[in-house]
Amino acid sequence: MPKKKLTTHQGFTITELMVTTVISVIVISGISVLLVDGQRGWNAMYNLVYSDVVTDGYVARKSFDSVMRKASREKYLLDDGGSWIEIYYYADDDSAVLDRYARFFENNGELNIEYGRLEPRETLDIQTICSNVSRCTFKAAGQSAQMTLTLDDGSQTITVVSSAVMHNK
Amino acid sequence: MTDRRLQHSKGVSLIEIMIAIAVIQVAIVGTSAYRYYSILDTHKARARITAARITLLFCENWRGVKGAEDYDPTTYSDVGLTITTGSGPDAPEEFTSLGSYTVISNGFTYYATLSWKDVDTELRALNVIVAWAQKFQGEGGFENADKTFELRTYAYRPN
Repeated sequence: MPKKKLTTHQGFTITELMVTTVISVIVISGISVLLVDGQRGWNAMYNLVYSDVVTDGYVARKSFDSVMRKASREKYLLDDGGSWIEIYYYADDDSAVLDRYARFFENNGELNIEYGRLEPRETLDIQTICSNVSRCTFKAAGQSAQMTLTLDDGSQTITVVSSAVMHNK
Repeated sequence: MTDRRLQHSKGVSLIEIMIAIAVIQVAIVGTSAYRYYSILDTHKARARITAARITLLFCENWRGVKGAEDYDPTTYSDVGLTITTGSGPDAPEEFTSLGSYTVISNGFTYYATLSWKDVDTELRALNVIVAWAQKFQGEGGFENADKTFELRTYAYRPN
């Protein structure tokens, strides 16, 4: 195959190379800034919905609602300072009297729930619902109870408020 | 195989450069718009979810005291949940207003109106409307409120 090779070609001048380099740097810098900013924005949005404190708050609210829904409206115990609340419920359909209790309390930055048996009183299980708790208070309004929970993981702070009516007899 | 090189390259015309710039601008504007509306919609969704939770909070608390006419939501104000008396949307027709309140939660400001109506001798309807200023990002007070969330529940009337 014949191959023709030029012995004289102009190539690029140093000025052309410099101009091209500068333009390339500007374009690449712009794209980099866009990518980094986009990633940062995405992370911010993601954390608003799926961060640890947000999902923990969701779990805490659902747990509080589900426990309160099956609680008896006849009696409950509430700490004077609102740091814990204890409700009573029936273990199952065969229970003729209130024979179980559930107690929400905060300890060392964790929201816990203690389940137990009555008569004689005995702790059956203690579950940790969420961590990063900076403040948790309970209040009561007649037959309903309110939980105000503040979660803080150092980078994000949210306040979760939940209220539920105690339905059962 | 022939290695052919033009001796006189024409380079790039102005039209080609302008078209390239226009394409890049469209891409940048499209990306910016996408990001802007993503953040805006997330903000709107959070505001609506918080409004729904506040509405539910009032309904549950008020129902817990059987829809009492002396129910005072401000007593349930707490750190992270500020409830004060203020202005709010009008109560529905035939409903008696309990009061209007300003609620601040997670950086959003809401304006709530609680009202009630006796349905029969035993049942009382409890209505809660929560309004907020979505268009103005929560600024400017109740006058700028353009979104509402309404919830109605029922309770046995207090003895």
